[in-house]
Amino acid sequence: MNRLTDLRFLIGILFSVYGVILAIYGLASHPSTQTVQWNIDLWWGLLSLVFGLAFIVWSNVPEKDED
Amino acid sequence: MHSLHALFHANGVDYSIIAIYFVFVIGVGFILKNRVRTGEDFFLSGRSIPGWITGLAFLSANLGALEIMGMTASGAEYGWMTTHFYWIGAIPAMLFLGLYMMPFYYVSKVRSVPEYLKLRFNEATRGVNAVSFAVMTVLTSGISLYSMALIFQVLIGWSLTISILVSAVVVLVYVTLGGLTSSIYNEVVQFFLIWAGLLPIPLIGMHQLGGWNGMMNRLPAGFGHLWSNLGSPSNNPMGIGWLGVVLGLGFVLSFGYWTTDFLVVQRTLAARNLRAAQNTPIYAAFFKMIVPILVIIPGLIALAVFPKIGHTSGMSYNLALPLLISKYYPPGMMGLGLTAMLASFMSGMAGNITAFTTVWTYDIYQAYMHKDASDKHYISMGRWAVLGGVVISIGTAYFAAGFPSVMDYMQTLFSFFNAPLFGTFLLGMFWKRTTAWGGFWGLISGIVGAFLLYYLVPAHVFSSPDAGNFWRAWWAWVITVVITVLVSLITKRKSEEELKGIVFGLSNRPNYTGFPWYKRPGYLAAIAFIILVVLNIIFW
Repeated sequence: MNRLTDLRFLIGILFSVYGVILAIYGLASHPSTQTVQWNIDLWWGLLSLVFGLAFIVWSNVPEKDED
Repeated sequence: MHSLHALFHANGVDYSIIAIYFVFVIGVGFILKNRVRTGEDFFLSGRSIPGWITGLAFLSANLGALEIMGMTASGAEYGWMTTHFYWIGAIPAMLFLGLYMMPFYYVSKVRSVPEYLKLRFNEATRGVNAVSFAVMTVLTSGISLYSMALIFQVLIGWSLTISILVSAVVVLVYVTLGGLTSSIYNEVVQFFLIWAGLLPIPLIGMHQLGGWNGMMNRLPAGFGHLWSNLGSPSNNPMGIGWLGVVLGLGFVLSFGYWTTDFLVVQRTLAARNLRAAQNTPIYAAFFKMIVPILVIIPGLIALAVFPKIGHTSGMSYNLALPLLISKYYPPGMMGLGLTAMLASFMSGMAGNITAFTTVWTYDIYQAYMHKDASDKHYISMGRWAVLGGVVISIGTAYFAAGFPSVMDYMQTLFSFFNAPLFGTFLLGMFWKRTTAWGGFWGLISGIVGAFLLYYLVPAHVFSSPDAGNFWRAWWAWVITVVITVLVSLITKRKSEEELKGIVFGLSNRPNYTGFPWYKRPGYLAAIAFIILVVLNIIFW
């Protein structure tokens, strides 16, 4: 199966892109709300990035046909 | 919902997150276009999708934005009891579909639910189901299109027309290109986006309120329980008793929806083999059980944080989730939250459109208008049907904008169709004596019976609209079963040869000895069921 049609790879790309955007925005603007003082964009962005990279790594494992 | 000022002020970063999502889904459509060669590819993803993907799609096709906002609202209004819709009101039916019904659906190679009805009963039964399903689905898609546009108007101030046209066109493009696979891929992406976009809300909220117990201290008594207030309908705000929940919601409504609605069943048919097809709703059951974290808990948090919700103007229960987003999320996260809602809305609509397209093409167009055309012809008909479905949805959306109450009414009417259908399926699949005309007349009587109950029994007989729906569904099902049995006993039965492979007792039970336990539907379903029981005891 073509890499680009592998859903794991597509999800990995989308979440990595979102993770990078959120983390950079978080670093640059230190957003906070009245309730949440810590930098949620930065931390949630990093978490999304890790999630996305994990999916990209997973997409290297060939899918077994029997599943 | 008449606020002139939008609730949020989305900025550049929020809009880029939303824009990236649009580019992504359309891109996926173009990538998948090359994989669509046959009708089977377009309408059933070539029956080639792994079980974890169809499982998540099975769950997400039903998890639209309206459902998310509506269930959060119910959580704020009725408390933890709302979780019944996710546990007893879904899990047993999903496990039953996987274990007992999938072998007939999948092995018979039918392409749709109406097609199974034709195989098991007759052309007339298929016709009734195909037409009612097609009409219902395309109108539902329009109603949700309108509701979503309304939400986005309140949230970020977009005009109705912009929201309706942008979402409809994006859905149109990606479904036309990639067919069911496009739709399924986006449903799975939506599943993860929902968690990414909404999970911080229960986390922040519970942290702020001091955990579950801290939250309960601020809520009315009984708001943290599932069953302990269901002894009598007058003891709880939803106005229902335990018997109504078990029979109406847990049995008839839930089984009727999860086992016969082609919107969800279509996802299982796309699985790459019988075991993956059986595991589809079983995997989905595990994920379904944790969805209350994302919807009901935020509802409870909303009630604790905004005690006036539902009682002051501008603070309707329906705004529970948006109010929390605007309170907790800075720019950036807000874009992600909005994208999650947009994604869940669009994938819900795409699900309706793909199901509509398949039923229209195979069960109406091929069956009654143009029988022996080439495969290519049906694919191109399918693509036109996507366009037709989207155009009708836009029309319905504008109609709904003009007559909102008519829409509520129609949605109640639609809820009548699944309960009788489940009766027909249950007898058809598990009682081989059920005849073709028994199935047909039973289904018709159930639908007519539900309508009569709705019009003839005054609403105030029931303690709440939910209680009314539960009991109507139950009686519609009973009518179907009784009439099907009676007519079957006096009409000509089908030969065993005709029923081979589509009825219990006349087909080989799949055998998975040799597979490890975590791949076997039976073991997985048993584990899911035990977790369900334990959860119900913990939150009694």
